[in-house]
Amino acid sequence: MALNTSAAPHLRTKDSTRKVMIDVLIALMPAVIVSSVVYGLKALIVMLSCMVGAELFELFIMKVLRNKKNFRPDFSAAVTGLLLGMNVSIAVQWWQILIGVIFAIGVGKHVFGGLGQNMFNPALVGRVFMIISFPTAMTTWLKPGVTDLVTTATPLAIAKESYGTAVNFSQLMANNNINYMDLFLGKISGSMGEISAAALLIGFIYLVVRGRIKINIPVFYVGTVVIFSSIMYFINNSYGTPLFHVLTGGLIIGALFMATDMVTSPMTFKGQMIYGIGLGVITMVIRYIGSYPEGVSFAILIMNAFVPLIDIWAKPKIYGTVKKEAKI
Amino acid sequence: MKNYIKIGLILMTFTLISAFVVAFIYTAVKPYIDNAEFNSKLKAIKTVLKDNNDNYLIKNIPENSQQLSALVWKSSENDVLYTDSTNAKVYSPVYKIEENGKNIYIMTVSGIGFGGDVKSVVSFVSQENDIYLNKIEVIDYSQETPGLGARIVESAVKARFSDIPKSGLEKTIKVNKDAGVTYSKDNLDQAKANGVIQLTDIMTGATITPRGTVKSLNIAVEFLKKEGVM
Amino acid sequence: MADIKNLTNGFIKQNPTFVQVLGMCPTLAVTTSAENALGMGLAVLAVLVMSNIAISLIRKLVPDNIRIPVYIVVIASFVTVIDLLMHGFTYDLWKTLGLFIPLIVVNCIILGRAEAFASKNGVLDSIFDALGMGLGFTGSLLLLGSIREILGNGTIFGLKVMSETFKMYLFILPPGAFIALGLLLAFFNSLTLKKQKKGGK
Repeated sequence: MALNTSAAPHLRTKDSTRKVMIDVLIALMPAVIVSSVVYGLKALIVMLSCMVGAELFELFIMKVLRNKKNFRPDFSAAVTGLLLGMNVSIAVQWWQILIGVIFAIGVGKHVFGGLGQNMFNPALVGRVFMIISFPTAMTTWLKPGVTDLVTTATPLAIAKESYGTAVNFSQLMANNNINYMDLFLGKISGSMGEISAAALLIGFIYLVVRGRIKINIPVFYVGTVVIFSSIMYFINNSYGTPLFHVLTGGLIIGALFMATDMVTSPMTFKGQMIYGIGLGVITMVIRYIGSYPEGVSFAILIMNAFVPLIDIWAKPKIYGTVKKEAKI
Repeated sequence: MKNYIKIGLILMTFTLISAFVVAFIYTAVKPYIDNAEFNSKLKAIKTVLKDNNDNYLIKNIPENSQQLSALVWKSSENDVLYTDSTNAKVYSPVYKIEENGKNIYIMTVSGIGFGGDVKSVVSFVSQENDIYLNKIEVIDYSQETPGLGARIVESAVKARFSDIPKSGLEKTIKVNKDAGVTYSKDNLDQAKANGVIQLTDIMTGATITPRGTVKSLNIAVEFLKKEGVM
Repeated sequence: MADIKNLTNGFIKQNPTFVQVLGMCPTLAVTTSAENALGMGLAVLAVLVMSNIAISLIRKLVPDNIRIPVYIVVIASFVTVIDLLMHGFTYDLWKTLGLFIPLIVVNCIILGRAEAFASKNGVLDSIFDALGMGLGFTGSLLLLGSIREILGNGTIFGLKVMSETFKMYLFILPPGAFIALGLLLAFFNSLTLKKQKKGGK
């Protein structure tokens, strides 16, 4: 029998990865329900099959390819799959999502060594892979609440056309039938799961109450977006109101559920602050001058790459050590 | 010291031998290279002299370098005749063919694409007061991404860049993505009359290469304006 | 005297791309289509054979301390020759490969083989080695190029094999090159590992 020889202290906790992941799945359910109301049963089927497919594929990788016979599913793949399913347009074909899921789990996660080792958020790796690989399907958006296929542009794409011009922003929103209540509740076009800020917030509050997630990253992320977009709004009001930028696109789901992924975010408060501010700045820069109307996925992936550096820089002082004297 | 000189001499010998070999091959291959360059240029010129039904617009088609050089209209010592802030260029020489009251201007132009210059040969046909862009033949797109930007050479794509009437040329030509409009397949003539090149349906995902090509067309138009043709 | 093993070594066991991981710049950059990959592979093969012959012939004349400059001069001349020949006779291919032909000069495989093999072995062996390595390189480029072209563009050598909708543009773009190469490397590594396990027990 092999003895466990890890260094002290030997903390024990009742939390297991599986319990955390199940809580995250529960937290995502309100958004899933809203989107199946808005987009119909198809959305529900797509999202649930993503979830199941991801879990099955992870099982296949662990048992067959990596030869871990005693692997027990911890549902982290299900979270990845569900997040990916929530992050694509309903217009995407089922096999395209399947390829995305395989890519997310295979390349995004297991190439790096599985749960806990992956540098990048697997769901976003899958999503960015799909944006680049299937540009047409991934940027075809359907009108919510309409059963037949009516394509439309997302609010961000509409706004993007007029950034920096003399267009009056509130006029633009009125012309395109966009109002803040719809943005908040989810009656807009967009990816399946990102449309309803309200439902995502409910899920997030559940996670915070259960103590699964700290609110630092979302607060700094959304805060930076608000400050950045306020400055731009006062320079030229066609850049969009701060509230518009917070409620549209994938910002809410990104800030609440993807940026806070425990594996790929910094550990200390200082680190989380840098991370959140970086996310906000990159997101807004992509929204304003990038070639895509939305930058949340890219921002999170870019900042994911910096997390190891941030963690080194923001390392807490080890208790009992003395600060080195500054050299003269 | 002696040793260094010896080593230096050996190195020099090798370099000299290599230089001779390369020089010899160069002289031997030069005519073939010129020939290949000329043929590809002539082929492009011949292509842009055809209309949409693959018939030549004129009867006297240049066949060799002498006939071609007789048609030179504008040329300059340095390679570039005209350029602008975006670094789109009109290259020397520009040819002009006159026949039956038609003036055909053929020029080599380039715009910055994804990985470098996207070079094309374009022909403009002017008759009385009217002028239109007849055809475009992309000749250098080697730095563009295959499957995306490099699809600029597909004939369906090139067809979208051809037959642009005067009204379209006078407005600055734009790709439909930049113009923010989408035309259906049946409305292509209307799109061209507005100076919009409808591409998103047949060249999905590529933005930068068509933009470069459009810039090269615009500079060709500017050049013609400067020379008083339009 | 000439050993056939020198020829077969380059195919799989010492494959320059997948085992030695040499010459990554052209491997990643020109494998956007099977045709480009094949053209590049053959150009490298030609330069490799010629430079190996030349270097094996002069190996006793070159003083040790200036061998690298001499090799570079020899290789550079052959690359220039190939560049000129391709310009004259295969104009279209020359245009597509563009900058990457002159860059063969700094391809590690060529200098590597000159230094590691041709400078120590006879002409016949060096030819075998160059052919093996060159074909191994061509083969791996062709494999990578075909995979990227099929997945990213739905074609192979310009022939349509997959419907338009199945295209995954990523594989044509630079990140696709890294991902496809990484997956192929993993595949080849797992093959060698399995072989070693079998051999070891």
